[in-house]
Amino acid sequence: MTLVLATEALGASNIHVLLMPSKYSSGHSVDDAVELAENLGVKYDLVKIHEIVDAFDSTLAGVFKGRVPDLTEENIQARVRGTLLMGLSNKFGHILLNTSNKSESAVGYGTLYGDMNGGLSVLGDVYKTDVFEMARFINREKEIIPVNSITKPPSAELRPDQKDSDSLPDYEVLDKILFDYIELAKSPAEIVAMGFDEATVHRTVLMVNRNEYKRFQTPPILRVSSKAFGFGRKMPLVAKYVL
Amino acid sequence: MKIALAQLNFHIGNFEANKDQIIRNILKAKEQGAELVVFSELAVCGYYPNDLLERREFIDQCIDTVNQIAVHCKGIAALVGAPSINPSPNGKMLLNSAYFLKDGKVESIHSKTLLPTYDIFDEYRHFEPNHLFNLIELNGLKLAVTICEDLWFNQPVFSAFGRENLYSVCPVAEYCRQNPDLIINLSASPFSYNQAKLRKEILLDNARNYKVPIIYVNQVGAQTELIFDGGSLFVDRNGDVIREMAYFSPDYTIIDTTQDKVEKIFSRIRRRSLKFMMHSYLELAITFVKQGLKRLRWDFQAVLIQR
Repeated sequence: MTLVLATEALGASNIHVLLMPSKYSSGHSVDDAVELAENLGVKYDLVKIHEIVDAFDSTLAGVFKGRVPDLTEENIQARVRGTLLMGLSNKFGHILLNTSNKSESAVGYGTLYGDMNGGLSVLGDVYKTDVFEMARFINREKEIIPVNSITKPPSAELRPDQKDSDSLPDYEVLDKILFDYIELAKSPAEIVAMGFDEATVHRTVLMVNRNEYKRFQTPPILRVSSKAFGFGRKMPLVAKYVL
Repeated sequence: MKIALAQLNFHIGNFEANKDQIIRNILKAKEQGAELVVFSELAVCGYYPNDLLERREFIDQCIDTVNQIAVHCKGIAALVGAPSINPSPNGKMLLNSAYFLKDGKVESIHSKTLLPTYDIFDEYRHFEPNHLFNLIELNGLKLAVTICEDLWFNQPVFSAFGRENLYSVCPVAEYCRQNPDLIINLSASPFSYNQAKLRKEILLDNARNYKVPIIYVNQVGAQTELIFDGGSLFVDRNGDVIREMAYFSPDYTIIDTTQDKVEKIFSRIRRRSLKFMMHSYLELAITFVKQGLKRLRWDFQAVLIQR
């Protein structure tokens, strides 16, 4: 979606796309990405990152001895990509667009210095369900965004068969809770009283509060709602208080 | 009275470009027989310059630029937004002002009373609230000059812990005690998709409640995290929209306060369907990226040039 908007805004000739599949990237996600770039007529390069990721892992193998692979290795993949993207930014003078949406940003579903890199966040104030809505709108006359990338279950693809729903409530539910909590300043108790599952509400709110430190380090987010993450939402980084 | 409304895209600290745009519009309005031309809030320096407002040189440039613009206001008057120095020795250094330019000079200064500090706003950080409510007399009409938040004495309440009256003074009521013929509002209202409709309603409510027509001039373009969506308005004393300007793009129009009652021109008929919502959302997002990226590029270039 970020790519579609950027192309629309700046023209295809001003866009440079870097595709960076790892060994966990599904074949169809690469195909979908290539198809999207070709539909839009933007320049793209494809580089595989598994050798770099392996080099990181083997470099740290001694230090990490006796520990099983976990989120650390997943994040390293995202950071390898972040490093490569900043390389392009330096080399060509491009501005790196951050692609996080508001749902991800709210619950901290992103890697600092990885996919949270960028000079500007385009969708950081747009909830995931709204991103889907926009995608369907863009495709209303012609399939520009490969429909498979809209219909398949969202995934970070940082480990085999990973789904966003392994870590997060379904976006339909999550986004409603987030909107009530962030835009409408409702308390968790009020949100539960509206009919949401209590445990889900508390877990969501906890994720929002625990990830202030990440949002403190994100690129500027273009504001489209009445309460965006950025200078209009000031929260302490260190607090023993969970709303 | 014929009044020109100039809905433009200003660049923070780019005094030359902002000045050129303003002067061009003043001359155009004069040529078309307008008696007054209205620009948006802090048009001269761009909205919002944040702590640049703490720099003496920045404020000097604002005031110099206003004086250079004033020279062109002969045979036409203009209302131009820029900071001014607080004449009182107490309080903040600055006022967030509208300069009334006429006969080639600054005729009077009218400042903002309600300084928002919620959400993205931080205006009391730099500005002292106004407490003088003098009307302007121009060609037989009495004009009340307000700035953006001045129309928002009654705040929308979103949560149970929200408050309808955030302020203790109502500038519109203060002005309306003196029976103005028209309220003019210089604005820099950022867009949000869940408040766009509300903003218009607040404006119409003011016109209805005080039985005064309102001219509202907003800016367009993006600054830092914010986007300004235009949609400037001329509303009659019954709260009916007589003229609605373009959304998300610069626009310019002339209204005639004596004739426009029968004219009723809408720039676009807008319906609140899902399709429309998504379309405006996209339109917004695209404009946002466009403006945001261009800004960023300019800013980077500026940094590089300085090096």
